[in-house]
Parts: sequence; C-alpha cells; structure tokens
Amino acid sequence: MLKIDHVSMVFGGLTANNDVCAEVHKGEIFGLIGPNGAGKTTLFNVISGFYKPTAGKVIFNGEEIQGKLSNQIAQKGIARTYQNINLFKKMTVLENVLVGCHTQTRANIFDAIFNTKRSRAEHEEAIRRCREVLEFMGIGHLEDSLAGSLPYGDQRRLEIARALVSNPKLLLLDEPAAGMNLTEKDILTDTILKIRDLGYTVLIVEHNMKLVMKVCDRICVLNHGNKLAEGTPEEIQNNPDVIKAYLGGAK
Amino acid sequence: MKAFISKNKWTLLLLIAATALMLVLAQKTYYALIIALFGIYAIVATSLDVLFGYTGQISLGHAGLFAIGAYSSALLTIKFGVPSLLSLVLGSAITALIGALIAIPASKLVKHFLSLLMIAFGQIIYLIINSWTEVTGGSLGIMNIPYLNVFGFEVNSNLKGAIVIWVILAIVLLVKHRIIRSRVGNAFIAIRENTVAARGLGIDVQKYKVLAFAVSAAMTGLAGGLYAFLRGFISPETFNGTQSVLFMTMLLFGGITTLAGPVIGAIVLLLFKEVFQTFSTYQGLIYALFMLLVLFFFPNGIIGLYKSGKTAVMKLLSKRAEATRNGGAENAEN
Amino acid sequence: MTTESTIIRLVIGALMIGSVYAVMGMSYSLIYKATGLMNLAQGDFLMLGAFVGLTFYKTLGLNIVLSFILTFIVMFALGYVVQRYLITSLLNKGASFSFIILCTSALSLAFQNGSQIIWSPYTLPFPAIFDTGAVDIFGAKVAPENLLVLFIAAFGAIGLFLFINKTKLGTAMRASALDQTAASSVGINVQLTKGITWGLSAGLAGVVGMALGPVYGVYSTMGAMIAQKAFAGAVTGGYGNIYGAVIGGLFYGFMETFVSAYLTTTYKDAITFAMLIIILAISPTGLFKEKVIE
Repeated sequence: MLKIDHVSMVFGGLTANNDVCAEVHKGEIFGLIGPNGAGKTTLFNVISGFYKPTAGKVIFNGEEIQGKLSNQIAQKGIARTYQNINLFKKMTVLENVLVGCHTQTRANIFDAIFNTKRSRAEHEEAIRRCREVLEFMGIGHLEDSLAGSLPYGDQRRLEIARALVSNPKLLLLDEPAAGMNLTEKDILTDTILKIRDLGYTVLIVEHNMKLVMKVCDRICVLNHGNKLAEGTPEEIQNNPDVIKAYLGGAK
Repeated sequence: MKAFISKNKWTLLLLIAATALMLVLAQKTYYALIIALFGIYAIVATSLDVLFGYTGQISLGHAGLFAIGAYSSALLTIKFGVPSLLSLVLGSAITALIGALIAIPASKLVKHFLSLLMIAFGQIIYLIINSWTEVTGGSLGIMNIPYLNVFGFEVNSNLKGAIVIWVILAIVLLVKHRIIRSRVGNAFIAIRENTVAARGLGIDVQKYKVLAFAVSAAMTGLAGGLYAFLRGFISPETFNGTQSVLFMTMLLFGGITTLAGPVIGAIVLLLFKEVFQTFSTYQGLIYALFMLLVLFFFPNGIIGLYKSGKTAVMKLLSKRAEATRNGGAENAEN
Repeated sequence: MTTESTIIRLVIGALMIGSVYAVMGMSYSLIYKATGLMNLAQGDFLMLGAFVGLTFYKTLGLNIVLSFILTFIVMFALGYVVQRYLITSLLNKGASFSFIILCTSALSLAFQNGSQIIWSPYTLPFPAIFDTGAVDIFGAKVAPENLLVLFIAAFGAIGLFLFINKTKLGTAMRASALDQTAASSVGINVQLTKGITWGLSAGLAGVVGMALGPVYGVYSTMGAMIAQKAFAGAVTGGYGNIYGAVIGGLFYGFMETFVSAYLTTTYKDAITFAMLIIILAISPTGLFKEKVIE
C-alpha cells in the first residue's frame, strides 16, 4: 500500500535519511524504530508531505506522492499525529475532531451561508461520527473541554481521534506513547491493536520497545539515516546488528 | 429555542431595550444618522472579526476595501445608471473580488509582511481615489449620490437609512454566525490555531485564507456602499490609513470572536467620537489609548469583561444562596 | 540648466532619499533580526527625531552637532523604553505576534497625534544649517542640507554595519538573534541587547529625521510614508539582510526620483506600493532569501 522507494533526505550537509526502502502492507501495523537521531521523524515528515525528499519516491496505492503538499496527501487518505502535540488548543475536543472530518465533508461557503439541508445533514453525521471516535478513544466525556486544558495523555488520545475520524487508509503515529505513564501505555497498546482490528493500516514511530514489540506485525530499524534491518519483532530482537546499534547508541 | 431564550434572557432584554431606545432617539434626524453609522461601522468591524478574530489574518488596510465598496457603488449608479440596490450588491461583489486578489499574495505571508502589504494596499487605494480626478472627483470626492431604493422603498431619510442598515447588519451577523459554525468556519479557526496541523488534516490553508479575505471584503464593501448611499457624499478623507487602525480598534475594543463584540466596539468608539467632538485634536491619542488598554488589560474586549463579570456575579450569588441555605439548616438545628 | 546638470541634480536627490530609505530599511531589518518583530512606529521615530532636533536647535538654540547628539540620545532612550517596558511586558503576557503589531500601530497613532499637540499640527520650517547657499557639483546646484542628509544616512549605515560586525555588543546582538537560549547561556543579557537594538534603530531614525528637517520641513506624518517605502526597499532587497535593505532603498530612491521627474508625480507613491505588492506576490523572499512565508 505504501512503498518507500530509495528515499534520501539531506539538510544542508546532514543526511537524515539515506536511500531508505520499505513497504507497508494493507491491514498491518508497521513499526519504525531506531536510536535518537536515526531519521525516523524525518521519514515520517517526508511521507506526510512536510518535506520533499532529496531523492527517491514515496508511492501510495500506486501513486507517487513525494513532494506533494501535506494537505493534498491528507486528502489522499494519510492521517498523522505529531511527536510534539499539534492540537487546536483554544477549540473544544469535539471541534478538534470535527476539523479532522474536513476531508470527509464537502460543505462550502454557500452551504454555510444558506444553511442548506445537505450541509445540516452532513454536519449532524460528522458530529455523530466524531462522538463515536471520541468514545472509542475513551475521551467521549471530555467533548466540551478545551483541548489545551487536557492532561498530556488525553491530548495524545485526542490527536489519534482527530486523525482516525478522517477514516484514513494509512494512519501515521509519531511517538504516541511519549510522556504517558504505565497504565496509559497499556491502554494505548490495546487501542492501537483495536484500531488495526477495525481494518486500519498503521505506521508507528515509537521509542517504547515493549509497546512496539507487542503491537507491530513488522518492524524496520533505522540507524544514522540508513536502514539496518526489517522483519518480525522476533527477528528484530535477535538481529545482532540491531543489538549492536542500540548498545552502541546508548553511550 | 426556549433554552436559548432563558439562557440569554439578559442579553435579549438588553437588545430589546437598546432597539427601543434607538428607535425613540432616531426620531431626531441627527441621532438617526449616528445610529445608521453605528450599523455601518458594526458591519466593518464584524467583517474584520471574520478575518482577524477567527482566521488570524491581520489587516490594516480595510479602509481601502471600504473605499472600493463606496466608490464602486456610487459610480455604478451615477455614471452607469445602475439601480442603486444592484449597485450596492455589485459594489460588494467587486470589493470581494479585489479582496480575493490581494489575498493571493497576502495569504502566503507571515504576519508582519501581511500587515505592511495591507497598509500598502490601503495607501494605493487612498492615492488612487485622491488623484484619479476624472473618475473619483479627487480630493473633492463625489457629491449628489442618489438615495438607495429597496424595491420601491426609497431610503430618503436618516431614519429609514438607520432601519435598513440595521436590518442588513442583522443579516450580516446571521451570515457570520452560520459561516463560523460551519465546516468552513472550523477550517478558519484551525488555521488561526495551528497552521501546520490544519494542513496535515487536509485543509488547503491558502484557499481558506483567500476565502476569509473575500468574505471579509464583501462585508466591508457592502458597508462602504451603504455609507455612500446614506451620506450622499463621499471623499477620500473617510478612507485614510488612520481609519483602518480605527476599524481594528473597534473590533479589539468590543471583543474578538463574538457576535456582539464588534457591534459594541463600533458603537462605543463612534459614540466617543461624537460626544467628545471638542477633543477632536486628541482623537488619535484617545484611539491609541483605547487600543493599548485592550492589548494590555483586557485582551477579550468589553465582551470579555462582561463575561468574566457575569461569571463572578454568578459565583457570588450561588455562594450567597448556599450560605443562606446552610445558615437556614443551622438555625433549624438550633 | 543643461540636461546633464538636471540629471546630476536628480541623481544626487535620488541618492539622498535612497540613502534615507536604506538606513531606515536597515533599522527594520535590525529589529527583525534581533527580536523577530516588526515596528509600525519606526517612521514616527524619524518624525519625532525631527521635532526633537528642531527643539534643541531652534527653540533652545544649541549648536548643530550637539543637537544631533542630543536627538540621538533622546530617541535612543525612547526606543529602548518602548521595547523594554511596552513590547516586553506585552510579550510576557503571552500576547500573540498580531498584538505586538497592533501595539506598535497604536504607538504610531499616539506619536503622530502627540507631536501635533506638543509641537504643531502644521509643517514647521527647520532653519538652514549652513550659511552658504547652493553648492555647485558638476554644474548642478545642490543645497548643502541635502548633502548633509546623504552624509548622515551614509554615516549611519556604515556605523551600523561596523557596529553589528565589529563590536562585542554587535556580536551579542547577532548571537541573540540566532539563538536566545544559547546566547543567554554564554552570559549575554538578551533582554538588554534587544532593548539596545530598538534604541539604536530609533536613535538612527531620529537623527535622519532631524537631517531631513531643513529639506522637507517638520510635520507629524513625515515619517510614515518614508518608513513604508523603506520597508518596500528592505523587502525588495531581501528582508532581514542588511545589504539587501541598502540596495533596495537606493533602488526605490532612484525609481521614485526619476519617475516623478519624467513620468508622473501624482502616482509615484502608488507605483512604489504596487512594486512592493508585486514583489511580495512573486518573490516574497526578495533578492537575498529570508523566511517570510508560513
């Protein structure tokens, strides 16, 4: 479904990704791991259109998407969360998720002004779907709170809800467990598995090995911008190169 | 509906009282003129709220858009014999178009560039209406603009003008309310709050910024046309750069991202101007003071003060009620 | 007057106003570099400088050099105070960038109106500084006051350049512009540096304003237009880039002078602003790239 084809990303003289290849299949959870500075988030930003890769292709459902604007990529069905939470802080939880419906709804300025039947029906349907997703993520009771006032863990959950509501073909999660406590991490692990069971495809960057090993079907390891290994969690755990990289990385 | 009324009963009561008061006052033609002008400036401040309050795009050039609405409406009627109501609508459409055109470069810029681009835009329009004498009458302006005619109803007095303008203001407010609550409005607010995240959710940021400019320009252009038909006379001095700052002050003073805020801001600042006409030498200083007060001490404007005051009173009342109840319980025990 | 001397006169005029735009453009760039902000009252610092200078020179009858120095000091203090006590406290309240812009726009209004109240709502004449009449330069007659403007602006531009690149404080300024946290961790007082930046740009604008006094007279809106055109120059040259501001400023000085001499005086300002809009539309980064797009 998503093919990363010899992607390189160079900033000035610094190579963040060097000739990386990987493929994500439909319906799986694909993990992207590596020590700090391995280029995981950079690769994420390339896929979601925040960066244009220096070389290589990103192919999504048979279509080249590298270098497209992030809003165009979102329209194609790739939704993401952010390592540093990017919520609309002064909007309520429900409004945040409603913005997430943008690609799924059509109402234009004239629908808005004349409050057409079509736009009202669409709006109600969007709200229904938003509530459903908020319930699913376990933050349904918070719909009227301001997003900026939520505790950290709930903010992360809200970001996932906001991405999920657009019914993405591919969901990108950028360190979803960062800053969460143990209980929250366990809940998150279950949630991610449930998301997969609903039929979504997930690409996840995460530092927490326990979570990664538990949820991922396949894992790709990056180190210094290069791809080091790819395989099932068991294969990765037993791969000598990976072990070396991690031990070497922890100075 | 019932819930809405009971929730907002004080606001509604205030609104009815204000309407009644204005209707009584409007019997005098001078007061009627002021009340009509309240409505016009309220429309402009409302239009700025769509752009600045909700979408986060600063404009210090709205006097230019106001001028385009006024001059195009007046000229269409005078030079081309277009019926006045149609001229009003066309004037607003022309302003929207020009607003959208200037928005194409503007929508790409960060805030300080945007602010200077809009100042430059306002300056160009001001220079053009001042210098293009054959068309705009130069510094003398345009005189003898005919009355507005709404389907046979000739708006030939300030009282009629005030009524028509306030009806139009109500429509503008309704339109604003609907836009803000819609998918489009959500996109506007999302852009203001976090452009990166908005884009990541599939919002075409530039398109929506241009749209916000166009909507705002359409409203301001409409206000400009109404001004031309109400006064029967327009000249460049109504549309200079200071006027743009004044519009912004009205919005901020009343309170951004509310329906009533821009209306109240426009009324208060205009009232101030009329009441303290003897101090007109100090006008710039006073506006500046208003603006600085808002920026430093109550960033949510009068509406923000009213809301926080209301919450404080509510808290006090509920506390007192509780105290009485507790007190009563104690008495019963004794 | 021969055509040649006309052209020489025009060139000197263009250099004069162009160098004023250049130094004002530099002051915009300086503030932007050091604090990431925009000051809409920059032109009013120029205007206030002219009034203050007039007060020292004419009303108090001080020596011209002393008047220039005192004007610089007064305007420096004003710029410093505005940054330290208004802008900083607004930023500390968590005000957004737009609020800072609006704050400076309110200041601009207050300065213009204030100057009308304190001094005069009309144009005040600034007495001639030199006893000699027009100077002859290659057959063109030029008032020495015009040359003084050119001299002051050029002196200011070079001084600013040397200050930024050669002094310790200038280095501190550039360091805090690049990375505030890093700068303060090596012992640079970032807040003080920012205050000094605003002070310098206000002082410079004030001195240039005073020099312009004898040329245009002194009036409350004299700075606004100059500052907007200087901004156009800074954008054209590449905002935030000091050399760019100089090139852009001179460009607009020449364009404006020759357009009004040979094409139209009515629309010369409109043409400048239209140029600004076009440049922002097609190449918002100017000649020397700086980030202006979101």
